Amino acid sequence: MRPRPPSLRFKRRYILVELVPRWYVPDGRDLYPFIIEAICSLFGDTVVAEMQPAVVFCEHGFAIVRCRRGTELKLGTALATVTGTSDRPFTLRGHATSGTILALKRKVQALLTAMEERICTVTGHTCNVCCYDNQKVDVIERGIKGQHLVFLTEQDSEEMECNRNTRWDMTGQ
Amino acid sequence: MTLSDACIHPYPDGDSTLRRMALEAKELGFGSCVALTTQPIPVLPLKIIRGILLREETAKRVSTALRRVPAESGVVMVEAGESGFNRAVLSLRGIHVLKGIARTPQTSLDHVAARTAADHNIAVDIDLYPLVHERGMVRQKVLQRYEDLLVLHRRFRFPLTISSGARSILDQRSVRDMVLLCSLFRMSADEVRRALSSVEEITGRHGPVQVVR
Repeated sequence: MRPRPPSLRFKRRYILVELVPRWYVPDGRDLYPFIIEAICSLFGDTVVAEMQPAVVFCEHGFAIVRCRRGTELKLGTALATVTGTSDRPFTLRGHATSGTILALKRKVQALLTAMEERICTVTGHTCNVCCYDNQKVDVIERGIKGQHLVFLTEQDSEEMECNRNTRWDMTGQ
Repeated sequence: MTLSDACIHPYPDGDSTLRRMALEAKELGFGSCVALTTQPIPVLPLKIIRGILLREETAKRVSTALRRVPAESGVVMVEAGESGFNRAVLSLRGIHVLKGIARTPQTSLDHVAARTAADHNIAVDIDLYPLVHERGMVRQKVLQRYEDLLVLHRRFRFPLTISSGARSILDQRSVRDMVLLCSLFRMSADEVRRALSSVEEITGRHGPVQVVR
């Protein structure tokens, strides 16, 4: 089938979102149902049909979500209500809206920060620790009942090291 | 004009430390935050105001609890209740914010209470947590309550505050997201910005005249 000429195509808008926490790297196909559910529960099926949302890029903790021009504010609102699931919580933070994917991919390069993953023992529990360039530290404890997260900074983790008696109660939330 | 998130719950109530939440809030466009914590507040790149939330069943108990509020508490919040309770509480001295209005019946904040709030410069909080995390009928009711609250706010001009109610950095929302979420109940961007900057206004109000020696 021949593609339509540009004058007959729908105009699109693309929204760049950051996935928080950054170490959660889903596939575009995994992310899509969360976005559709958020739009559908907030605005209904009619708006989903009008919006034609799609995840066109999902790498390095960033995703680009496509919609029809004129519906980007509604999409942005719905994206703010994405919370993930109870055992795998995440959120989407909007960074920019553009008419081209290329412009947003350039922005991703500017926003990328280095992330280092390592395994540590915190109060007797083996945890994955993700350290970011900007002093942020994510502690992920994986157990048979799922995962527990604690978000702190380098300074907090240093204080924790100094005070070995500190019990980070990661199960009591 | 400093934009403030009017309520966050850092560790141990939530899973994120105060430093981390402050770091995130700064990146999200805020200049200050009200934190419900009893832990000591470290020096941070963002202004943190200590908040205290009073949850009592009667206005008399609130009045008693107000006398025991620590002096370093910057913002005193009271959990809203039924109509009579709210009217009584809004006329008490020393309260800054009436919180949790979405969880109360529709008649809990009437025109009399709204006028009292305006006279005493007490803000009513718009908590965005249920808008983000609830679905279906619960969220519909919250949207109705906030729309109704806006009608009273536009008529009587009492201050509003907006809070994320975040217990984790995953619950914190940017200023842009807050504007978009508030547009769901027809709150304009100007009104949102005014509400986000009203924490300074309600905490920095003048007390009774005192003799300075």
